[in-house]
Amino acid sequence: MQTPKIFESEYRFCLILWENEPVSSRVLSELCKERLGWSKTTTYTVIKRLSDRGVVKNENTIVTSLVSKDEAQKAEIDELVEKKFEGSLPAFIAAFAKSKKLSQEDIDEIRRIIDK
Amino acid sequence: MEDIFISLLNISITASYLVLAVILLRLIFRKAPKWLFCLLWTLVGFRLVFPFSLESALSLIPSAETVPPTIIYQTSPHINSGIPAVNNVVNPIISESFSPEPAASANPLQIITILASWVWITGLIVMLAYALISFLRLRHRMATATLLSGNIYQSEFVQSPFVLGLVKPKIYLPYNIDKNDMGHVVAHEKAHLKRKDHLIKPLAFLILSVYWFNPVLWAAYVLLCRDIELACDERVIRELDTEERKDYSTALLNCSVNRRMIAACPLAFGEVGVKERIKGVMNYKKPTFWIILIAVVVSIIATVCFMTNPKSDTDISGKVFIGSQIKYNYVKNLGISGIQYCITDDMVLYSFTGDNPGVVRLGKLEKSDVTAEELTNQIKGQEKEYPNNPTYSFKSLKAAYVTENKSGPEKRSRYYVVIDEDNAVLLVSMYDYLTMNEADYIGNVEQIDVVEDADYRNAFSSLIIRITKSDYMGTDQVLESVQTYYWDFDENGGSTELTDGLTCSTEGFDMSEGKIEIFLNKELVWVIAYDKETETKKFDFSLGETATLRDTGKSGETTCYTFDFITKEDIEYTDNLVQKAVYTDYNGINVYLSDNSSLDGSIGYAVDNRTDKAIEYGDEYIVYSIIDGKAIKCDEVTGRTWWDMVLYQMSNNSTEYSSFGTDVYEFSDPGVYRFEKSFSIVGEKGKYKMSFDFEITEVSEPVLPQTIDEAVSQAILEDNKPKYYDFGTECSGEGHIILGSDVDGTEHKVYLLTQYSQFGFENGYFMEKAGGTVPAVMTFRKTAEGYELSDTEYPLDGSGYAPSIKKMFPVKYRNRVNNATEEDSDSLWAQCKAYAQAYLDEIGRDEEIRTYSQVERTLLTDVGVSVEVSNKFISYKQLPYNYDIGYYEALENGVRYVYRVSYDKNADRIICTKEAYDTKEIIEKTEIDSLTGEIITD
Repeated sequence: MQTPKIFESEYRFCLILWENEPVSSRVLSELCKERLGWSKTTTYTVIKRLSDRGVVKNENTIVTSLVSKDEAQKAEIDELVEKKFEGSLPAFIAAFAKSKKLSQEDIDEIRRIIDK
Repeated sequence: MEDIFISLLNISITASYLVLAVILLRLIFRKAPKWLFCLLWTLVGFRLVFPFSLESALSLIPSAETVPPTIIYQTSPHINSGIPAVNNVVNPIISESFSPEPAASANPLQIITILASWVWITGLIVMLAYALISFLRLRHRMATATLLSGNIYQSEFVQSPFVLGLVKPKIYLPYNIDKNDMGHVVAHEKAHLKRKDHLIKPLAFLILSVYWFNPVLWAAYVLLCRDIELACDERVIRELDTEERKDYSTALLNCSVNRRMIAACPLAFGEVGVKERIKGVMNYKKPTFWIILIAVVVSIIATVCFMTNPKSDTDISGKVFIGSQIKYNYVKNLGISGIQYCITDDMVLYSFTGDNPGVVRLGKLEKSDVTAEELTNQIKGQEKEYPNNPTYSFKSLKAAYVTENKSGPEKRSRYYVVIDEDNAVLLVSMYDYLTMNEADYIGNVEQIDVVEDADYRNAFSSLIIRITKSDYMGTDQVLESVQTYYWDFDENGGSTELTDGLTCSTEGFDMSEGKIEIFLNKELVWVIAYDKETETKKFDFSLGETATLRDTGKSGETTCYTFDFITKEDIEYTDNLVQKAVYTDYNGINVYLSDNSSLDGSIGYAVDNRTDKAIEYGDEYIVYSIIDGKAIKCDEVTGRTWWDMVLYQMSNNSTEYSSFGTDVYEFSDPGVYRFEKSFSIVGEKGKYKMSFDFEITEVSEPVLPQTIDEAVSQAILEDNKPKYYDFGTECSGEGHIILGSDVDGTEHKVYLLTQYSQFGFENGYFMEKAGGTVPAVMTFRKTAEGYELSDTEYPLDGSGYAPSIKKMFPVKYRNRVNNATEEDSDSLWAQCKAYAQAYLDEIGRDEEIRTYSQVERTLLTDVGVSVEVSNKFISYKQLPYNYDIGYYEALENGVRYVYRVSYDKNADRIICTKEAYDTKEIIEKTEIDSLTGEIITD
């Protein structure tokens, strides 16, 4: 299944969720207020939006993720590879390796993520 | 709304000149610091926001009012741009196209103005809606922006960094912003916040929304936005070196977006004029001192020239007024002083009330078409000066302020009446209430009757004008209704406006001589006049009728009108009319000198209300000195303000209460005086005046205290003694703590905590029966004889307390005043107690001194009497006993008595006895059935 699109701000939200899930929406809104500067309404709107998109699940005010961090990262990289490297994974890794010194281990790790 | 539109149009035209000047300055002084431009734009804003403007001879603005508000009424409409070429081109076209058809009900220009006003208001709403919606949309999108640090947020929806919000502005950045750029961007946005640009820009947009119809102001707004950014850049890069400036420029370029919309918000980093800004950043040199100086000086000159309106004097020049009934009208407001012109077909009115208030000049025109030069000559030839002092007679007062119309179609207008030497009267209406810059002739008043009272001129000058039919605004319109104006002039030559409902004239009249009064309410004007040589006369007439007061005197001559006191029965118009009457006894209300009035220069009087209705006292009292049968109002009477004392006097034992009051005045000279005070009875219409005469035979010189401390003690005792019911009181004491004082010449202002206590014997103690603690500010005047009290100030009660403390006391004393310490209250009580002890020593008694709360008491209910009966017992006001079991002592004419209340349980009796202190002999005895509460009569 195609992993749903997660925008940057939503991704920041997901980071908090992944760290704390399962978590009640009330606690989540407090965490978001503290770390993202979000109002309660904004948090609830985002939960609703992400659950509509199938990224999270809100059952009896307990929020859990349906997409793991790995899946999200993979989807993001897929999109990047598709958009900027014409789908070429090696080109991507090469570019990636150019900008940052990567160990073989790192490269293997990226491959692992992408291959999933 | 049309008025608002026309005045906004004029404001925007005058402001446009300023905008053009600023644009020119911007071009000339490119090297000048950009904050200076922002400052100049602020001046433009001021010009647009505040309708008031100073006038100056240096003004370069051609005309303060290009489009006169009266244009819609003019028979030959014309504008006054102040530029002859423009006028010559535009005016013939306007006159040609828009001159009203005599037969048409509305003037074409009037219709156009109304339409334009609607278009304007629609545009305003659209502008504001656009700003609001774009603001709300952006804010909604920024809801999911995530916190970076402090007030900096990031969002994927941000293209270029910006600041959003008015109260708590936040900086929004995109996620993918370059680390190198970020520092510069944040510095830029923070500079915006420091400069309050996030407030200025929306405010400017708001102003633009109001003036959206003026393209020059759109240009001003665009340039303002650019200058804001430039000034902000300037502030950031001032501290940067060339390399860093390169970085900054790169950041600008990276964040630039192609935005073409003119928006109220946000303040975007890369929003406007990136090219110009990069140039500005890279070419930035610290402006030299001389450039700044020259730019500042030129700006100041520009400000004077374009912030001020032209002197109205210049306005009159070069004008020819043709064809309309109103040739020229102008009123220039200079705050308290002013110049008024009004030129009609045959008359010029020119009044100057500036440095020499009340000097009124006026002239008559011999022909209807005049130039300003001719006009000036006319006025010069004919002007007359009328001194304005209390001795003027009404006829010589040729121009006077009359009334302000607050409702109806001519809302916001003012009427001035101007009377010429032949007593012809012009009623002039003022238009713009705020700027007072237009006047219109309404018409001749058909008839005028002047009532003049030479002897009592300070008290009364009155005029009633009736207008029946008048030309109105140069058309055939007739004033809708017959109107009657009434006003009277006070001694300063001003006038009292009579409001709807009731008002009456005069003060300081001589009651023995009588007086005249005119009352006016919505339905009728009512005049009472009394001539002492003839009989009482009363005139009443409805609105619109002429007050022919001449009946009581000789026509055209100065006549002294007087009036009689009217009794209630004489008055037919009871609704809202004041009754004036002397009553020493009105249906159970008695006014009398109180028993404790002495002949030493002070009198006390009392009002005893034996009705079952409450009476309300106004605060006004008047004291007259009666000399040769004439009552002359006393200017200065040392008196204390009115207060009500709670000694209930019931009529027919009803539970409603009435009140008893006294007042004490001190007189410096012996003589016959009259005291007058007004009151009304609750539930009854009208007001009453009670008055009584009394004689002061002797006035003893008071001995003034020699120290501030003594003076304070004396003042506290004298101030408080009359305030407390004193039956059974034998000794008064006071305590005070001087917190500090201000000395100003001979004036000593003393800040105090004061306490007052009254003592009497009760249940074996010498007890504080009444008293109070209150902060006070007393002012004393130091004289050769000692300290003389000139003023005492106490805080108000209830919710007024805290504010009045704040007003009375400097900060340094307030804490002590507001938070009484135990130490202070002990000290105050100890001082009061010392008075009591001295008294005990003097009369040879040795009872313990206690406060009221320190004395235990046995209530009737404590010994088994029912609550109902004990309440009933309390209600017997005629019984001078305490409400609980026990006794108190009282001195009556030097003889000591004991008032005792006891309870005989077996006989079911409450027994009240008055006993002689020495012999224990029972002098009076009242028994009350303790089961029913009834007084037992044998």
